[in-house]
Amino acid sequence: MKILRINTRSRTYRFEDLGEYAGLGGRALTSRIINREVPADCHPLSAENKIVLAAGILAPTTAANSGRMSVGAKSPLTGGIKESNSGGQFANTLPKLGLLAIVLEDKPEAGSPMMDIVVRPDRVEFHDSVAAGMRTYAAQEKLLATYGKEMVTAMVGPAGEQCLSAATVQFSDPDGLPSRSAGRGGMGAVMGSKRVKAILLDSTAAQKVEYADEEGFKAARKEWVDIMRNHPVTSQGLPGFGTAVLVNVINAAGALPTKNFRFGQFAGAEKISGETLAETITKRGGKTKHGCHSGCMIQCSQVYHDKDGKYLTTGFEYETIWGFGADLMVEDLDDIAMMDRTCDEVGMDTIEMANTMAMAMEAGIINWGDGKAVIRELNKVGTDDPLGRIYGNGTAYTAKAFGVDRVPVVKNQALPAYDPRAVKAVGVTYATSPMGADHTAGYGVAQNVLKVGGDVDGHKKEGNVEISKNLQVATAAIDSLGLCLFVAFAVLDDARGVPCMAKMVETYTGKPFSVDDLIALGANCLKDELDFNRRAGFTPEDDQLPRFFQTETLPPHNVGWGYTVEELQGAKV
Amino acid sequence: MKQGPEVPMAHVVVPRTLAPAFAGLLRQGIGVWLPAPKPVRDFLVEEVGLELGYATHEIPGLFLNGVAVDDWENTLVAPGDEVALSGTMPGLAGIALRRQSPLRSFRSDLTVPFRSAAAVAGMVTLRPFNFVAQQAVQPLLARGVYVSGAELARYVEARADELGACRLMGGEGCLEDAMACWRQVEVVHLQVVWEE
Repeated sequence: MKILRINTRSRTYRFEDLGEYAGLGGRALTSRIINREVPADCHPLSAENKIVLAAGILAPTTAANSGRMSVGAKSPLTGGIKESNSGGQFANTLPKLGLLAIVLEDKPEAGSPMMDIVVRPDRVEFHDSVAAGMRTYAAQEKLLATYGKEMVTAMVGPAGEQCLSAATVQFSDPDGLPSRSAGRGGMGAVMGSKRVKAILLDSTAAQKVEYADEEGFKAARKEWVDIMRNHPVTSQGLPGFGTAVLVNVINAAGALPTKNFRFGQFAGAEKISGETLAETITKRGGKTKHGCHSGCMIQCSQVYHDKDGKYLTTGFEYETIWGFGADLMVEDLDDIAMMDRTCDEVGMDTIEMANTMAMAMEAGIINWGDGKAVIRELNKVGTDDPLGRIYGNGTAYTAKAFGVDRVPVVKNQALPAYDPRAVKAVGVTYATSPMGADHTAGYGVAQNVLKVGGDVDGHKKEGNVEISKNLQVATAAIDSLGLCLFVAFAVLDDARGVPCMAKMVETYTGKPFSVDDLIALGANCLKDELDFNRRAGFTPEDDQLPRFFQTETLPPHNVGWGYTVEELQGAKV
Repeated sequence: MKQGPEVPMAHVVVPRTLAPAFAGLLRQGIGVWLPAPKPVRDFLVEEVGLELGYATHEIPGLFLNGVAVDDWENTLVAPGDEVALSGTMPGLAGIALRRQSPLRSFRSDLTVPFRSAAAVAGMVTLRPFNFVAQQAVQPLLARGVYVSGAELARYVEARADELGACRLMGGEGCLEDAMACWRQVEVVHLQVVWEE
């Protein structure tokens, strides 16, 4: 496997051996490259920043659910290091071209045209973009018509072209639609700053994957599939209702943030629940099961049709439904689906934009619960409308523009869909992750990592802090293998899970790789990220939830927060 | 249904193929008569009518008045309570919310404290979600539940196209007339005969 380095100023490229980066992949690779090669104090939109698109260590293999993509850079949203994770076909296709990662470097002169970069088996082509200024769905059609329908794409929408901090990198899904987002942290702005509209991979390439121990790998893969198939969450829960199955449950538990984190329950939850979503999809002829990448056996995604039975959106997640639903008090699922589609079209993060719209509601620009107004405002992003420029820079920026003081961000990144006062360890992760508030940063649950039944007492504050740290380590490891985080549910309950992941790596690479090595992979990744952030100027004071979580309790259970900055430091490796 | 309140009956014959259409009614909350406070597990088996094995293995999410239940053998359900049930749940929060989750300390503020309850009879609101609603809809409605008359009328009316094949038991009249009647009463006892 090689790394393809592209100089976006000179439009030149070179293929490099992995060298000092051998043994890494996914998030571990993006964070190591950024930490080593990008000045921590640089401007995120400057030529000094780089953006790395990396497949995971297991991406070249046939391991189930190993097609997740890591996108890393210094974030224009947080000012710290960022790894943003996405589905789509890109991670599966890179290894077919002999590539583990693509690094975009430098940046063209101001006013340079946007470019399309086409990566073929024998060469890399640079073209002035045929899709500049276009929204992603139209751009995708244009790109495929121009360069070939076999192309797999990563692109920015208008928000990325304008270098807005909530901009995503959109990846094409198995149906060829640009529906998958590396959403968090403004990676699209960094790609846009380098004047890259799209990177296209020729999916007809077919470089053979060499396994060090092919039979050993097949046995490990078989066990891996067995673990996924036999767990109720990965085999039943997620394929049945998608992640939105959580809406009713989290609402019942009083942990569904509502009206900008004022309440833990939303009266309209049933109307936007996973059950209602599944029933609506079925009635309209959509799909309740859909994979975000080839080789996914969980199929937690779906295809949502509008009232006329026409495709509207896919990848319609719990976080999006919560953010544009309960948090804004919108209870029309079709409106929320249109918001999701608009974010995909313009290329912006749904979590960030939902919280941004909450700021607009706090400021009285639009009314709580007015879904049509939210759609209208979202459509301003990526246009010449100055308000769109404000919104597109995210929650904290919009709050400042409108004089709002109830701002749900950590390290400038907006909070996801679990109220930290109700589920404490999630709050610890929001506060301490190098990524800013990120629900996926502490997801990688694993029995032997957690020492379940062992020496961690979660009923004590320090126990929750310790568990959050372990979860963050495990998550970083899973992200580095390129596995979908949802495998963590099965791994929690099946003692074979973690050893099986390590065995797949070992039999593929031929190098000894133990469970301890897997944990070290995650821990070292976090060390890279924390080191970068420290050099970028972050201090323990940045590891805090917004003040209102300290001062307000959450109805209906009236639970509070109560962790000090010092206590939270224990969650960092 | 044991010694429940005397309320108007809504006895309906429904083709079994239409059972999924009633899952949403369950999710909104249905009334189950409780003769006296009893542990959550016993309530589910004896009053709701679930098989113990099913309740044990297929309902990891168990909430009493919005907080997670871990010790279902000793936590009491009393009249006026709301019990919510969920099948398998994803997400870190989903894992933490499971009954007896190894991560239950994550939601230590959302755990039912020990309590006693006066020995009185009354209604408990049951809200089965997701798979539990799908799987329990037939036995629950066959056994009979209490629902708001107005809610029932609204629910059936909103699905008029879908539920056109439903009819009142014993040819007592059409559903439309019955709905007009249900709207006028606070609570009805809904019982369904599932037709092959």
